[in-house]
Amino acid sequence: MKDFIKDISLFSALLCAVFVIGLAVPDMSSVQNMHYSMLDKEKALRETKGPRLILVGGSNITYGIDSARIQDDLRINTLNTGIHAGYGLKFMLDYVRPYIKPGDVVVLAPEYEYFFNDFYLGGGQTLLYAIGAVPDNFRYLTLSQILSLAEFVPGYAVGKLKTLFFPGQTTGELFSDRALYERRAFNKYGDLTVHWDKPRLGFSSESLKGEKVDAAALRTLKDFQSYIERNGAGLYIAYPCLNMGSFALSESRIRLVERELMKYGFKTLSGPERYVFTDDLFFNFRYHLNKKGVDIRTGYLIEDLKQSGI
Amino acid sequence: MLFNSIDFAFFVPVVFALYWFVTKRDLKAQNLLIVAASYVFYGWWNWKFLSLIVFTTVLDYAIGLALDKYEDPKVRKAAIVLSVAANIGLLGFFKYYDFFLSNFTAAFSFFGRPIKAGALNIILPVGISFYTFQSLSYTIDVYRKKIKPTKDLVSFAAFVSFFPQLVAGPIERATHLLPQFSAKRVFDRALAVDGLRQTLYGLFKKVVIADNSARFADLAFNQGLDNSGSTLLIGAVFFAIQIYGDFSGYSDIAIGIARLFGFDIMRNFAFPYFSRDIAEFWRRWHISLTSWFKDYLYIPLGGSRGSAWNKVRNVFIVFIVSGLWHGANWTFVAWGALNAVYFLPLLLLRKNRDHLDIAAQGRMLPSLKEMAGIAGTFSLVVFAWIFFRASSVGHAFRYITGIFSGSLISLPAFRLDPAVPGEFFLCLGVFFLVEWFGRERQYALAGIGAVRSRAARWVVYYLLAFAIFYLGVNEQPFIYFQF
Repeated sequence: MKDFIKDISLFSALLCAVFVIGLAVPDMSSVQNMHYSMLDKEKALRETKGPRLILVGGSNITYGIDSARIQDDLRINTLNTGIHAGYGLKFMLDYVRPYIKPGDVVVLAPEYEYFFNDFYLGGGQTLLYAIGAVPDNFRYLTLSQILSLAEFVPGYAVGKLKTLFFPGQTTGELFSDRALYERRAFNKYGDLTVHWDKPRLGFSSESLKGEKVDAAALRTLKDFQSYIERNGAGLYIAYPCLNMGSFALSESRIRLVERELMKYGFKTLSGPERYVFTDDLFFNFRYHLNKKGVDIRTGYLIEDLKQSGI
Repeated sequence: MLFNSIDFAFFVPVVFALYWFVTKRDLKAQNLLIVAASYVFYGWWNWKFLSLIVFTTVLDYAIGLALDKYEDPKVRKAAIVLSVAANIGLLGFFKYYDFFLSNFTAAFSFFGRPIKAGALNIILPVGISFYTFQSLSYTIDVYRKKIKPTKDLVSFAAFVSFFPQLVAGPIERATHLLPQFSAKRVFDRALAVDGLRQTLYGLFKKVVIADNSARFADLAFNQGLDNSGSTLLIGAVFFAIQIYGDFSGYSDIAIGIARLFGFDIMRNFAFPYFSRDIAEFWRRWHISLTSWFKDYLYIPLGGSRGSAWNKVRNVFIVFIVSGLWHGANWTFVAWGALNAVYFLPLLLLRKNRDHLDIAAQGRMLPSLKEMAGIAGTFSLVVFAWIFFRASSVGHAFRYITGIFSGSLISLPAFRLDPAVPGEFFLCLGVFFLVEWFGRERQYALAGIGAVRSRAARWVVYYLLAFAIFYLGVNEQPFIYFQF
């Protein structure tokens, strides 16, 4: 038994040592992954003159907006701060917050998952990449988020070590179509546009999980709204784009979210069904629009913003 | 608690330490610890369903004692009928109630007499098909006087709920596992190391091979997509790889973990995709269930004795029941029936026991005849898996029609899934080679234990571990949990 325990301990210790080395070494990729686009987005938030229209959300915003068209149509500097939905609602609000200026209009399109099952705090693996790309992002994490990172450290560390041997590949989640997940996939407004000329890929409709709307997510949102208004800016909630099949599977839960947002007194742009589209307008996921979908959604958003007096 | 979860990674060392350090001198305490650990393991999903395991345990324990106490055939028969009815009734209610109800209402509507009956939307307790069959094997064997009933409730509870194989098998027999709970366990380092090796290999099969194959299979079987024939064909092959990696991976982990605790659990897979005919495939696939049905259903029905009609009837009954065991859906019935159709010609021509050894035994490469047999059998199995994976029989037929469309001769749309890295294909290739060259052992990687150099052995283990961490898909449930 003693020898067995000794062997297991040695094996585990060596494994842990590899993970620690993986965490410590710099990311040697010659091409930076999408998480580094946070640096560009923050720079834009810092330097773009106000008033601005700031779009906030997960990948429904990243993939699904033509900011140049909004800027031309509404004559307001437009910034797409959309990031990976796995960062969580709390993270994305915290990271925009310091850059809000008087007169700014924030349009937030949170994915519906944020309102259920603690998802507003985001997911571990993505958060690790967020910190790997921009270590300063660590300040936005809560203790429970930090603890949730632990189980993703091994995969992350091995992925980073791999860049020592294959520097031509990006780190981050593993994708064969890496062009979609690189820093350079974004345009100067922060929109992900590299998929606009790509053929549609497969995806499946999925239903939301969870019974009750997460009160903590709503409180986080309310707190953000108070901050925005105290600083002389405005907040509008837009419903995210979603494919018809997923909407049908989750309509009762989406209505629950809609009711709660109204109850809390948020200013919303139209209703959820306005941004529900057929599958042929999506690219590779139920929240990711293709170019045709981006055009339609951007048009609707412009109309809704105009109706709200912007 | 999933085997491929962080919770389980903490759970096992804790139970291991308590088992070998705290309770090692007291067999009863060790068994009690196994029961407690197994209930925690199971309760992690839904503690309310623990009551079902407790009910099955207490009932079958009492029936076992009654069967021993009473010699009157009528009383003994009543006792075994009670056990079968209670276990199958429980399974039937949780697994098949809604299915049969919806089919009855549909049938009445078809004949112009619509009836109203509300489905109960019953949640299927994880692993119920496995532990009820395991417990049932005990009472039937006691009834047949193959074993003496145990008087030790704790041992029996440990036998029914033993956590490594509780939720997805192998379905153990009382004759094999139960006596192990009465025997003193001594820590065996070689056995424990082999157990860990098999566990690591099982995790690799599940997390790297099965979960990544699933991404292709899921997209191919997604009805919303207009997939080409070649994509559908490759999707079906990937499902075959997925279900093998998933289920045999689970069995490897179960057997490996059991060895850590000094237990020997029966083998569940013996390289089924290297089978040269369907009869051989069924001797190598889900061995614990196939042999269960053989011993407790096929042979009591008369087996392969009697007229040709009897043989046909018995084979169809066993395969269709086996299909239904997997789930309450006509797709599983169709899958079972199709396998019966595959198997019957071999049985009727007395060719079902032609291949009792492994392909190319003692040789490195198979002969052309063996290769043809393996390829043919694999094709039949993949074809049947389409029914198993499809959401409805109609979906399965559409899928098959899609395969044989004009687009069969076209490049498969591998670009469909952006989330599978190239390294996976390297792992898949290595996996096939390891399986082929390890096919004469209990599990493919068992031979590594004989390598003298510890450094060489550890390099293999580290490569497996890195592949698991790097290519692993986070905490995907095992397919067989739903059964």
